[in-house]
Amino acid sequence: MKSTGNDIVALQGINRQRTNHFLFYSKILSVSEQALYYRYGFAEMPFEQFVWLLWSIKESVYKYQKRIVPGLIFSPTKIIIQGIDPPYRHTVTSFGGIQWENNNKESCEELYKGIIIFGAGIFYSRSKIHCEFITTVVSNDENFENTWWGIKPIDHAAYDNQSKAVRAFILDKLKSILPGRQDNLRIGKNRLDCPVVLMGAMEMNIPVSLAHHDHFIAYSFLLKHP
Amino acid sequence: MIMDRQEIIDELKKVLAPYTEDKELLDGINEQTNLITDLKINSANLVDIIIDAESKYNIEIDLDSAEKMINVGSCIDVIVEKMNLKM
Repeated sequence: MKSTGNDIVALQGINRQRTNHFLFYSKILSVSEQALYYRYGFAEMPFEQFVWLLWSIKESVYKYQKRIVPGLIFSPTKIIIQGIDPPYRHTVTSFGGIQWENNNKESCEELYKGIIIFGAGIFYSRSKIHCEFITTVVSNDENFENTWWGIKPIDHAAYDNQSKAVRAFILDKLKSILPGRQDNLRIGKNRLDCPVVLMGAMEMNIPVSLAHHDHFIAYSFLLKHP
Repeated sequence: MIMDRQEIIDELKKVLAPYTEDKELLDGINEQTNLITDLKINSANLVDIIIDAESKYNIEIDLDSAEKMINVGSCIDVIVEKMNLKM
């Protein structure tokens, strides 16, 4: 079964001091994952960003699998990150843009690439880090073939606005790439509480994942390139 | 100190309050209220809630118990279980 999972963490919305406390991060990271911070050259990254990078990967894997495994419960320490490669000589900069979208056709050398084990599955992650946020998308395909993902800042961080804005963001993208007029396209939820693309009342075979936190929204979906 | 489930709910409301916008819904929570889908709490705050609950009730919530804390009822179950362990 095809799926996708993503997450975004707005760094303004986290408690940096609390994240650095053992009581907090030990509920997210296993001992072996804590060791990755030193093994993979993250010395220039504040530890709290490392914690939230791994959180965003784990949450993305959970959202990927939730579509496949009914009743799955998010348990961060059971999703094991085996390794994570920072981009070569990457400096974390301010996002500064109106939005960012990638369909894996354009090269993007500033991504953190991870490999994860969860249950019997192997997953791959790609994360993008800016001063304002950390965002991740995961796939079971190492090459992320047909994975599309996007990030956008929003003006108002109220839940209803986040929810509407992320749906409008992904629908705009889908309408721009699907053939023909797509006026009756909308985002709904299936019986597993996962987001789905609906054309009228019909569910389309396009796995989607939505995320929002504070003033940022993000989507991912799987669609063969037209 | 022995607390009944309603007293635990009343205290739990104070733990959850910083993480939900919908104060009206928070006032009316019951054991079926889901933290994420009903109270719209961002998943990034779930660990905050566990740590705040540990502090509020002076208990330790292990990882296996933490993953059960999906709705108000399951939160109370875990809190009661951990409080009983101290007695």
